[in-house]
Amino acid sequence: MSDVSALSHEYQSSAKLAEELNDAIIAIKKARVHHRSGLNQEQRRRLADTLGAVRSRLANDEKAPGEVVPQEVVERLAGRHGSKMAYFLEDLSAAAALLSGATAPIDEKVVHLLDEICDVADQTASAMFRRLRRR
Amino acid sequence: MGHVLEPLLHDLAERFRFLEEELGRMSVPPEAEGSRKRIHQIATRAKARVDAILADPDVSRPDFAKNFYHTYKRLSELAQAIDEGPLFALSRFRAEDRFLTRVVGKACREFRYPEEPPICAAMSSQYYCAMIEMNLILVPHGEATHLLGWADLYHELAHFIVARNEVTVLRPLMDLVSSHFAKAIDEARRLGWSENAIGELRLFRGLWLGDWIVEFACDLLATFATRLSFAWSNLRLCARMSTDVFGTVKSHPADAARTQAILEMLVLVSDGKEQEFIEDRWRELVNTIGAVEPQSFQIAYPKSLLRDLAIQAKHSFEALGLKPYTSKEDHIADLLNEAWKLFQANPESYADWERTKIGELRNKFAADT
Repeated sequence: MSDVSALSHEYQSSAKLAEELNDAIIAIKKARVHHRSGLNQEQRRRLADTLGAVRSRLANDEKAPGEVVPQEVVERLAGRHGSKMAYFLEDLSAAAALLSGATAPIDEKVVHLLDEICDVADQTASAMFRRLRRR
Repeated sequence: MGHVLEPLLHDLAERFRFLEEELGRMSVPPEAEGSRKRIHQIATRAKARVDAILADPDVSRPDFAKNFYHTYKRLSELAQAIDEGPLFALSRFRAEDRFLTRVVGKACREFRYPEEPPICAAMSSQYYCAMIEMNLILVPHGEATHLLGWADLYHELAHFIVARNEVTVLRPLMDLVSSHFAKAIDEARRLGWSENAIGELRLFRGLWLGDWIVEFACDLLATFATRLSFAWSNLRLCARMSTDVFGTVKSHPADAARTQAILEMLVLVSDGKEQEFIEDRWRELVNTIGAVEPQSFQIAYPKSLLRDLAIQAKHSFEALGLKPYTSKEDHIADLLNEAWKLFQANPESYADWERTKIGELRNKFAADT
């Protein structure tokens, strides 16, 4: 009824997305530094689904696959990429395709892309958290 | 470690230690015990996570710094949310909160709410609201003694269901919205609309896919579960609080559009008479206020989309196993419908009846204990 419930929902969705991406990035970085295995097949597939869902929302597809991406995350990413959106969509498709493969090494470009979306989800979650407290 | 995060993580570990201890030694009534246990477990897990980060040798590496900072922020927010929400509510859990929590629990069982019911505390300064992660509903102080707003509890319960079942409930609704606006934008281009007008369609699409769709889904679920009482409660809330029934804000769709969606769900779950009756009263209210529907209203909230959303939402709620309202004596939803009927028919004597009914409910809960 009040704005609190809607903000609470949006906070939870964006915080969940930020955590999912952040945990994956930490796992990938640890695998590189310590020369050990990183994400398993299921984790890679989930990550690919998430990127697919982000791509789909940015491209305004009529049917979006995967999880629900918070609208404010979509808007912030759209604001960042503006007229170069087509390139960003291409990068998302390529990263999702690479992650869908079971063994292909995750290169720096993919980590950078994950980092960027994670940053945006983190900023959105923090903004929602502050709005919930009227700060 | 010697990194900026180190002292911050120690501070956070101390906060979680405090929360863990407080929640661990707290004694609460049986209605709130499940919630206390759950939040205590969350605090314990979070404390363990902070300890693990403090012990992680990678935390001081520059290439990990931002990621561990993100983790720190989420955990910090969690500590604050526990402190300000459930810990605050549970440490002051009064008889009124206990009563409302039992009301919520009973309502949940009746419409087959699929999870552990949230606790409810009468300490809100923001009307009814849900703190989703904390499984907590807050309502204004006086609500334990007034029935007419209780249908809004179902709207708040819907927030938990929608947030935890986004793929089942929200995504099909979002697909309908996306599909509608994709077609509308194509059509606008074909008809040579100005870029500004097409931009307005994009703006509406963005608002719909943001907070609006969540609010519509919650209204539709509350109507599905209570039928008339939520429709009445919505009408009363619009009369009390609306500045412009056709006005739109980012977080909430226009009151008139929400009412239309509620009417669409009523068409699906009740007989036509009930829907007509509410619609007549709504028109009366709009005329009394003197509000005029703006030209863009039907573009932002097309009737066909609201109808499709109601149909899809009903399908999703049924797929989740939720039970639509059916008149059954002793059910909270039935009590609320009876309350609204009596209130409409005889507002002068309603307060006495309400006092008696709430007294009976309290006695029943006491006898069940």
